[in-house]
Amino acid sequence: MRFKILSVMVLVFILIILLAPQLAPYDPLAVDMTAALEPMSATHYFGTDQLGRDVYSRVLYGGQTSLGLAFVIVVATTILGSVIGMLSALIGGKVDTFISRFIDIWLSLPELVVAIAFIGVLGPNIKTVLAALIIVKWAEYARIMRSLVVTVRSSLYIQYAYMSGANFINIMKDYVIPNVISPIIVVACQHIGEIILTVAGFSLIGIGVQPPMPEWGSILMSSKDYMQTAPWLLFCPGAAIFIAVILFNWWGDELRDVLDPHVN
Amino acid sequence: MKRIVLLLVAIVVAVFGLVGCGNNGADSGKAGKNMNVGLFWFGDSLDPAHEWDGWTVMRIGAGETLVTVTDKMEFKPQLADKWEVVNPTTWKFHIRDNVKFNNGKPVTAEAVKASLERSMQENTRAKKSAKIANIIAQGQDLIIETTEAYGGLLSTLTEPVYIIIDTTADLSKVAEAPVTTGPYMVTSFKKNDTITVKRNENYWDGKAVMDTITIKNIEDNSKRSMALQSGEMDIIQTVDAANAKLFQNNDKAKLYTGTGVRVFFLQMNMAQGPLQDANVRQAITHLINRDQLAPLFGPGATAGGAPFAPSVNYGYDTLDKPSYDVAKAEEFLKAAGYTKDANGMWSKDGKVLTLVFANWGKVTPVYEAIQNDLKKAGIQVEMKRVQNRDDASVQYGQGFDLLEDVYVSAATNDSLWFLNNVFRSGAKGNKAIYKNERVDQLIEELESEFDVKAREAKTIEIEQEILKDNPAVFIVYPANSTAAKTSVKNLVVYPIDYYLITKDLSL
Repeated sequence: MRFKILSVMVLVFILIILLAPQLAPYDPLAVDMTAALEPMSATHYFGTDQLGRDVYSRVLYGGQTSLGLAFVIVVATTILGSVIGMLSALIGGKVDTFISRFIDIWLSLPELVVAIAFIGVLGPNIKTVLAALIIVKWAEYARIMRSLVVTVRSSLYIQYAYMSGANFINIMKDYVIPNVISPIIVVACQHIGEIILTVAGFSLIGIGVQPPMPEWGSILMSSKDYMQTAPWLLFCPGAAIFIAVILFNWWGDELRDVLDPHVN
Repeated sequence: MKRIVLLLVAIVVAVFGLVGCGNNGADSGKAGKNMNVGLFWFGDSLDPAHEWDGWTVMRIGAGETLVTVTDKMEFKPQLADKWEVVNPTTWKFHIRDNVKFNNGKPVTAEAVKASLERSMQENTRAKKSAKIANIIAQGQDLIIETTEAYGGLLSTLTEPVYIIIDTTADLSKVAEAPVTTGPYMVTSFKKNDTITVKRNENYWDGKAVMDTITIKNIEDNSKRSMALQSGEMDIIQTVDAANAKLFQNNDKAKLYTGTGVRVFFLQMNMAQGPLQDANVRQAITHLINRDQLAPLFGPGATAGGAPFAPSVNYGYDTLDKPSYDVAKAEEFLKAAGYTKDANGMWSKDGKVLTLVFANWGKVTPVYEAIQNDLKKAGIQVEMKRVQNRDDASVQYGQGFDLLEDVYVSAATNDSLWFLNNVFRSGAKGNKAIYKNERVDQLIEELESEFDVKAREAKTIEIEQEILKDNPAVFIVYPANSTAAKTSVKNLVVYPIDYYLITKDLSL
């Protein structure tokens, strides 16, 4: 029941973000210096920023960037990491050893430092943020996928399937993939919140999404000095990040419980 | 028994606690009268000759130069009480008779000579800017021979890199505690954190009011403002636009502002891209709404238009400066062959007029407002984040059309340094690749001009040339802003922001 309620909440949240062009009353980039730093009101629900831009519209559009980036990064890392992990487990031998050691080395690197260095060298923009996070995150999925495939492959039912004459493709399609896909999906869902926070963090330190594109972290960054004089500038995007992270993490936990055969 | 032991423990803890509190009171009667000042930047050391660190030494009231600049932007004798131009390549300064370093040693012409020579030896900027060929000390007279006729020497010597220190003192400690002549002397230095100074009992111009001053490096604007609000600081230098409101109509603190000598401008790439066309550059100068941008630079900032702020005597009011005028800009764009396409964007040969705007500072809302102004007028602007101004031109192969730039344009109450570094052909700071032979010639003449009025006239002429060619669009002159508790007295906001702590400043 809880999973269903949370699923509905997640869907509603995503829907609100997707419908930003319809729900936003103003152009998120439209500067109007005569309306600068207006507090929350019926005209501007979340107030306006130092350039007179409507914060409500910016938060809605910012969600598209923040959530969009998080989804793309999570999907890309999941696919990349899973394919590498699966191949490593299936090929086995020296290739598996090589890939496993490579993953060990990769995971030993401090991922944020590597990502920041990568962005620093190539210049901060949405593409480099995307690439940097995919590069530092794939290994985690590869490690999980490899161990899942190794475990499933050594199961008795796989051996029986071979004995019954099933070919490699059938075994993968009917036995291996269905057994390893659920845990990976759960991990991916739990990572959405983490990625939203990381992207916002990068923007907050000025190396993430570049202005004027609205993104929750970049809205926070350009307003951080207004903590005392215009607190709504920080509260609204901050609340959006908070709600998104809590919602996706909780939903991810519930999804794990639903998909985990031991719980069921 | 147990209760007695607990009671004893409680007494011991209370006594030690009270003793601890007593030691922490920096302004307790025993420690003397202390003031706390929050600055926005510290140099890496306190050696005046190291890079720009002398600016911090000057700000904290420890350093002095031969000549200084007043809050009215006039030269004023400091360690030298008089000077004269003997001939076009020779200056003669007389060093005050009664000046002592804070270690008690007298400041002689010989000591000044050694200090100036050290500055030039340690700092390439100092060596280049002063053009000094030889220094001769004769009693209290200091004769400076320049490599060429150089009218800018007086103003150059006001720069903090030429702060006079005792070079016979232990120079291994110069980075932490230089022996200087200012009203205060450094007692401790913790890099990027704290500097403490105490009154220099040997000061030549009367005793400083405060016994000690604790100076903190608080780079974050909000934190600095909060430090004043909480009472932790008595004075904070530089209040940004976001926090200025906190100190307006405030009973406990007051905001002081004064027109500065910094200029925020955009260099326009004249070597490649659409801004090679003079008409397009003209159009840009009319499309940026400077009046609306000024408040984003903090309290007291004024809209720009010329290379030098109105605070200096370089004919600001007489110059023909570009105004915000979209209709005029459209005429220039049409003259450059551009027409408006169906989307309202200016296009030529099927290509939308697109400018790459390289920025490296922290005024993000300003970049966005500029982008918005140009976009509204039909010009596409792509933002490009770079590390600094050199990155934009070197690392990316001059890959920009507009480049953010900020200079202290008349730091030493003289125009030469800024003009020479930014607008002379081939100068390091000339990122626009601007080339105007008349400007080069005038800058050369300015170097050898000694008369103050004639220097001003030449500067105005150069400004007129620059405003005709538009290698840059001058946007805002940020103000110097300082906030202080209402109990602070004799606080003066100088146009040059490395002057702050004076002997008269008190609580």
